[in-house]
Amino acid sequence: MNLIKRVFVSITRRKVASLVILLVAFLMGNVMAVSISIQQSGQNIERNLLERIGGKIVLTGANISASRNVLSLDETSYNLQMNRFMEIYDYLASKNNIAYADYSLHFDGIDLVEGQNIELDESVQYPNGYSILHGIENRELIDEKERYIQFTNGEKFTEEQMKNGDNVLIVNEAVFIDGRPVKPNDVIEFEIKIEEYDPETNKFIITDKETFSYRVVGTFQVIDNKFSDVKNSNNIQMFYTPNQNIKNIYHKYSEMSSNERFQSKYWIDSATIVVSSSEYLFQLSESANSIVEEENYPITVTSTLDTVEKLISPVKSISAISQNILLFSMIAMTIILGLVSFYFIRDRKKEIGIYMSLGIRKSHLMLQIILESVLTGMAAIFLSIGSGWLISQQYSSSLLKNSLEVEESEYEEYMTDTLNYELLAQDVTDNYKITITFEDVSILIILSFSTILLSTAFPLFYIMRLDPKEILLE
Amino acid sequence: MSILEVKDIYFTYPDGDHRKTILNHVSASFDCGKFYTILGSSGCGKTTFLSLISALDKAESGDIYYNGINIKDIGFEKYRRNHVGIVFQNYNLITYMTALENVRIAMGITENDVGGDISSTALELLEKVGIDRTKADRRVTKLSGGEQQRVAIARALSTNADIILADEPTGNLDKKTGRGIVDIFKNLAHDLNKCVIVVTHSEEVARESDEILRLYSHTQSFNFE
Repeated sequence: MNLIKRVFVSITRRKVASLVILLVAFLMGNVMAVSISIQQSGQNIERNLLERIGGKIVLTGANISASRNVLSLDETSYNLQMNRFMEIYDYLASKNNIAYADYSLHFDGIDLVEGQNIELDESVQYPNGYSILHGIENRELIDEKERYIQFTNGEKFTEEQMKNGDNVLIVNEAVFIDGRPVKPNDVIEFEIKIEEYDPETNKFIITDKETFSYRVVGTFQVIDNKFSDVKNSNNIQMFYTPNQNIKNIYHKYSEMSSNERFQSKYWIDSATIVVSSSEYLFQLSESANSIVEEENYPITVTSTLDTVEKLISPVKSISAISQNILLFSMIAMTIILGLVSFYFIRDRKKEIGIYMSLGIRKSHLMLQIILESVLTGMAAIFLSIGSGWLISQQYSSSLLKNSLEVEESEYEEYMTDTLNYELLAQDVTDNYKITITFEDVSILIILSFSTILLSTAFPLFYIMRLDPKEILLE
Repeated sequence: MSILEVKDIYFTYPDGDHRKTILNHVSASFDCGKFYTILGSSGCGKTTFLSLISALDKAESGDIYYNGINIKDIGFEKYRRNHVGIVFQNYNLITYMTALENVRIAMGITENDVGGDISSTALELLEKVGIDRTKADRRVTKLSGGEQQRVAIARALSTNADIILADEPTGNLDKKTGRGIVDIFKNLAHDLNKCVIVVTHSEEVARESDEILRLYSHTQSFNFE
């Protein structure tokens, strides 16, 4: 009877011992499987979420936006601020591993000419603080790249149009002209009105105005996905035009308006810089933060890395707990299995003495004991793969749901205009799926195999000290 | 050349603060084809002697030679594996196994040639000692004391070892069964040319052997006369 048959006979005939070891290993295996699956899912969700949102930073010049109408800030200071913002943007956007970048200029001194038969969606008519036109610097339409919109018809702006700031538009198909959706080559009229305060009537009166004809070169539609369905509709635009056009219009307005005191200014809300792969995001984010820290005017850097970090913090807490549970269960399994094996090996003292009297090599005897433990234990571990993952699915989902509810208020505080956190929080729960992967199973098998192997140290140490003469002859 | 030679064996065991000499420079030699009995009163060192020649224990001084080779050079484990078969008073069988499996265990451990088909060889051996096929497939706990001792003898034989050692093999058996076991030992020596050494305190068993070696007390120790 060779080693394998001896092991098989020993496992199958010593039923009580085998069942106890099987049960202990099964229980521990479940705990380990739960811990590993929770940890792995935590890591996966971080990767998936970042991949899904994309790696980007958003520079926000809140001061610029807010001070565009502040009377105390003169034109020179305002321009210095704007220029510095542009410099920082240019520096960061020209770094390596940047996929695309853009910023939008706004100006609220221009509006649609009344009387045109144009229907707009009122909720998004002035998405950016009363600026109907949305300037773009990058003719590749960053909103399309970010999957907020889809270009549907006509052409994008040419380099020439971008550079000259021509009166051209890319328009949302939700805009209706004469009762039909807008199409390329339609013409839409905008106007600048110069208003002066009349102390006699205590009202603003129009002193000058000029009309500008814009040609529609292309159309787009909003993509119906959760990322485009942002809370404050910032990304649902009606009219895209080159940034240079906004500047041109502003200069025209400046020339027409004699009273600097009541002049509007063109402004920038934010600039977006997207990295080619989320792995470069940390570097870019660090770089941006180190620059803005030294600025006189406050510029905020928001990174999707922060967003993801914030969103998955409950998942990370659960992962950290499960890591401790895994460590504890491994130690407990080593001790409990070791003690159980030791208890049963003491009952087999005589059997071991017999093997020794037959001249079995000690290494073979030890291998037999190890194989018995490992085969029984690993059978239990394989059984626990399915049940463990089933338990972890139930356990972790409810744990995550509770954690997200607790932190809901923090999401609200953290919300910026870059992403819809409420929806992303939902995305975390939707994406938090416990799945059995080859990697998870491998980790479970390696860890439990090592633990079981370690637990055989107790019985092996006992065997090493046995004297066959004492067992068999006295 | 004798198959087994014991030269000048000295052995003591701890007795309070001192060590008590139990085998004082004992020498003996054993040949194949003979049935030896070692007689002596309780505590005279018979079992110690057996444990030394079966390499279950180590003498403080002196040497044991198998076929002229010191068993230290062979290695104790290897010596037990290939050259001796041991039969114990309380049988020492693995209780969760059948009679056949107990025999096959030893055949799986030895490096000696045990024949082509291990199962049929084991069954033949069991049959030779009076265990039929039905009993061979029974758990050893379901067999009588005499039958268990026969299984233990079959196990000792199964490795094709030249030397069969037995410690009080009839001690737990009734007279009739004991006689049957002694007959088996005689046959092993005379028909299979084995060197059979049986430790016993029974004069009756000793009378059946070819040579009797008595351990006598000489002051503080014992020796062959």
